[in-house]
Amino acid sequence: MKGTIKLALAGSPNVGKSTIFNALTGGRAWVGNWPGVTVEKKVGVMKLNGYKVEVVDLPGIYSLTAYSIDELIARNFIIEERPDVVVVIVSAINLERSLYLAVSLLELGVNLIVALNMVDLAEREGYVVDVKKLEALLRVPVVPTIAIKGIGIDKLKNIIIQSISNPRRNPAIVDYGDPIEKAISRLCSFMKTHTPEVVHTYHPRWLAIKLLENDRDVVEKVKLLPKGDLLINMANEMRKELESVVGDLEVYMVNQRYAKILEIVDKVVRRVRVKGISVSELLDTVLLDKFLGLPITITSIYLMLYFAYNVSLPLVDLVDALFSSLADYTRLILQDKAPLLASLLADGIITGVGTVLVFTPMIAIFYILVAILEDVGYMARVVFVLDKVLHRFMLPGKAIVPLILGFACNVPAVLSARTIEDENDRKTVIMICPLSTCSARLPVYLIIASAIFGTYAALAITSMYVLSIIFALVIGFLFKSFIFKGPSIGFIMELPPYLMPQSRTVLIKTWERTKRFLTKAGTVILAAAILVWLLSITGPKGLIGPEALEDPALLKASWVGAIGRALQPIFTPMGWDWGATIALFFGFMAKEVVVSTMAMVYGAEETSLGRAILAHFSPLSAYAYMIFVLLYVPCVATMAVIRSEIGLKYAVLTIMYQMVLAYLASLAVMFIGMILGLG
Amino acid sequence: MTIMRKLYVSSLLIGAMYLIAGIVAIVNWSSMLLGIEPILSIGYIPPDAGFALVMITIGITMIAAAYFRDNIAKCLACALVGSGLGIASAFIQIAVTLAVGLDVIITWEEGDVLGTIFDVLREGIIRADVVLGLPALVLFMMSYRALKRLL
Repeated sequence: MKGTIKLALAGSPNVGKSTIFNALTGGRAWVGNWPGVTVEKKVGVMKLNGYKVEVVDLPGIYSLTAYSIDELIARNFIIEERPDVVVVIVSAINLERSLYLAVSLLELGVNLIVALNMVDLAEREGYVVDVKKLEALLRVPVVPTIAIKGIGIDKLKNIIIQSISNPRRNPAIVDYGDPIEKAISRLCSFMKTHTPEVVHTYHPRWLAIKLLENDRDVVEKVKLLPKGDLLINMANEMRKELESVVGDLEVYMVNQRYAKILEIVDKVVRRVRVKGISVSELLDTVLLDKFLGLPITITSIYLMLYFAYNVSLPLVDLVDALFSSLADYTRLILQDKAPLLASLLADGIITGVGTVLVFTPMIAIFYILVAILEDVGYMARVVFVLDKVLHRFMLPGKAIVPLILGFACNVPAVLSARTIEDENDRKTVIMICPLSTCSARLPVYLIIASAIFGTYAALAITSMYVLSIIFALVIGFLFKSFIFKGPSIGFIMELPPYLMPQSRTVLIKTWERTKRFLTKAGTVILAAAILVWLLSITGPKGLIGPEALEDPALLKASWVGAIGRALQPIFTPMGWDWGATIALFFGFMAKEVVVSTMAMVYGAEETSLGRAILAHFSPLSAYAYMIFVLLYVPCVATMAVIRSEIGLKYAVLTIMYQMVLAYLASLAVMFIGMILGLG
Repeated sequence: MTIMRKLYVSSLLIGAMYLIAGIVAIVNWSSMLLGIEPILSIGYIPPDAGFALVMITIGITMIAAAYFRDNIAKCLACALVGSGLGIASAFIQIAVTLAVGLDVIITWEEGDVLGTIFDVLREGIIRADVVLGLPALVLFMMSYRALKRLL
C-alpha cells in the first residue's frame, strides 16, 4: 500500500454527487433528486493504484460562504482537514450555476478536479460543452461523466491518481481588477511577514479575499491568532477605501466571479440544435401548475399509500403467521421448563418486536414507491409545489426539505435544517419538524386504521399526512408571527429533468431505509419490549409473574398498570383506557413502541391485536388517538438532535407545545365528532 | 377534426366521467357518514373520500385539457398527466384486487374460498377507476402520438 489519500467530493444538490460517491466507493449513499439530501459527512473507501483513498462526501452546496451551516462545514473541512484532492461535480445542464462552487474551491487553493456530469442530458437539450477549452480556462483537469450510467468514472479515477503526483491549483482564477488585486497583494505580503501562522492554515490569497469581504467566520478565527487584529484592521481600512469606489465589496466580488463564469460559459458552451420544448417542460406546465399541482401531489401520495397498504396485505399476513407460530413454538418448548423465559421470549420479545416487524413489507413497498418517484424526478416537483404553500405561512422556502425528509425520519430532517441561513427561521423549522409524520408512526396508524376503518384505512392514513402538513404550516406561522419574527428567505432550487428510474438506485435506497426500520426494531424497540414486559410482570408489591399478561386484573396491579391508571384520567375525555395511555407513555422511546406495548398490554398477539383494538376504541376515539400519536412528543432520538442543534430550552419548548397541541387537537376531534353524532 | 381537437374533446368527455364518479363517491361518502343509505347509485362507485379525491383530480386535469385548448403544450400536458393518472389508478386497483384475493387464500379458515375470491375479484375489477382506465388508456395513446409530433 503506497499510503492513504484524502479525497473530498463537492457539488451542488442534484448534480449526481451521491451517484459518483457510490460509483467510486461502491458505498451505500442515498441517491436522490431532493435538494439538500446529503446533510451529514459521509466517508467511503476505494483502492486506487496501490493507494487507499478515503472519499468524503461533503454536503450539497452552491458556494462556500459563511451564511449556511452546510457551506461552513464543507469549507472548514477543506481548510482544516486539507484533502489531497477535491473533486467538484459540475452539472453540464446548468454550468453557470454549478461553476460558482468550482471557482470558490479554486480560490481556496485546493488541488481540484472537475467532473462534468450529465453531458448526455446537455446534448439532449441541444448543446455541447467543449471539455478541452474548459480545462484550459480553469487550468485544472475536467472529466466528462454520465454518473448514472457509470460513464467516465474510470477516467476520473485515472485523473485522481495523476493529480496526486501532479497537483493542479489555480487560486487566481478571478481577476478582481487593479485596486482590489493590489489590496489582495498587500494583505498577502503582510501575512507572510507579520502573521506567518495564518499562512500555515489558510491560502493567503483566499484569506485576503475573505477578509476584504468581511466574512464573519474568517474574521472571528483570525482574531484569535497572534497579530490577527492587525490584519483585520488593515483589511477593514482597505475595504472602506475600496467601497468608496466599487460600492459593497462583497457584492462586487461575487459579481466579478459571476462575470468570469459567464465569460467561461460563453467560450465553452456551443449550441448545436435549436431547443424545442422538452417532455420535462411540457409535463411541468401541469405538475407545477398553481391550481392542479397541489391536488395532483395529494392524489399521488394517497395512491402510493393505497397501493402500499393493500398490495402488501398478503405478505403482512404471512409475516404475521410466522411470528405467531414462533411465539407458540417458543411457549411449547419452554413453558414447562422455564416459564419466565418463555414469557420473556414469546410475550415480550417475539410479540413486542413482531407486532412492529409485520409492517416491514408495507413500509418496504412504500419506500420503493418513494424511491421511484425520487429517481423519476417527481419528488423535486412535490417540494416545488409545497414551497409555494410555505410562503403563505411565512416559512422559508428551504423549510420544505426538512419537512419532506421528516416523512421518513425526524432526525435527518432536523439536521437538514442546517441549510437555512436565518437563525430564527432555522429554529422555527426545527421545532415544527417533529410534526412531519415519520415512518415510525406508520405502524401505529396501520394497526389502528386497519382494525377500525377497514377499507377506508388508506384514507384515514392519508389524512394523517395531510394534517401533518397543515399543523406544521399553522404552528410555523404562529412561531414566525409571535416568537421568531422576521422576513423569510426564498428557496432557489433546480428541477432535475424527468428520468427513467434506475432499479439499482431504487433498491439501494429502499434497502437503506428499510434497514433503518429493521435496525430500530432490533435495538430500541427490542429494549422497549423487554422493559414493558418487565414492568408488566412486576409491580409495587414485587413479582407478579407472566400470568399478569393473561389476566387483566393482575396486569392492573403491575407497574405498567399503575402508571397507566395514574395517567388515564387525563385522557378520559378521549375515551382511552389505561392500556392505550401506557402505550403512549412508552411511545416516547420510539413511536413504533406504541404498537408493541398495546400488544402486550391487551394480551394480544399480532393476529388478535386488531380485534383487541376494535374492542377498546370507537372509530372516533381511534381517530383522536391517531392524531395524538401524530402530534405528541418527538421520540428520544429527535429530542437529542433538537437539543444539540438549537439547545435544551427549545427542545423542552418543543415537547411542551407538542403535548398541548396533541391534547387539544384530539380533544377537538372528540368534541366535534360528538356534536356531529359520530361518537 | 384535427388531432388536437379530437384530443381535447375526448379529454373533456372522459374527464367529465371521472368527475361524475368522484362527485358520486363524495356524496355517497357524506351520506354514509350521516348514517343514511347512499343517495346516488351509478355503477360500482365506492363511497370513499380517497377514491373521490383521485377521480376528481383526474377529472379536473383532463377537463383542463379542454380549457387550455388554445395552448397546445398545456392542453397536451393536461391530457397526458390526466390519462397517466387514470391508467395508474386503474393499474393500482387491479394490483390491489389481486393482492386482496391472494390474502383471502392466505388467511382462509373455513367456507367457500373460491366463491369469496370470485366476489373480491369481481368487485375489484368492475370499480369505476378500473372501467374508466380503458378510455384513459386510449386518451393516453392519442396524447402520446400528438406529443411525438410536437417534439
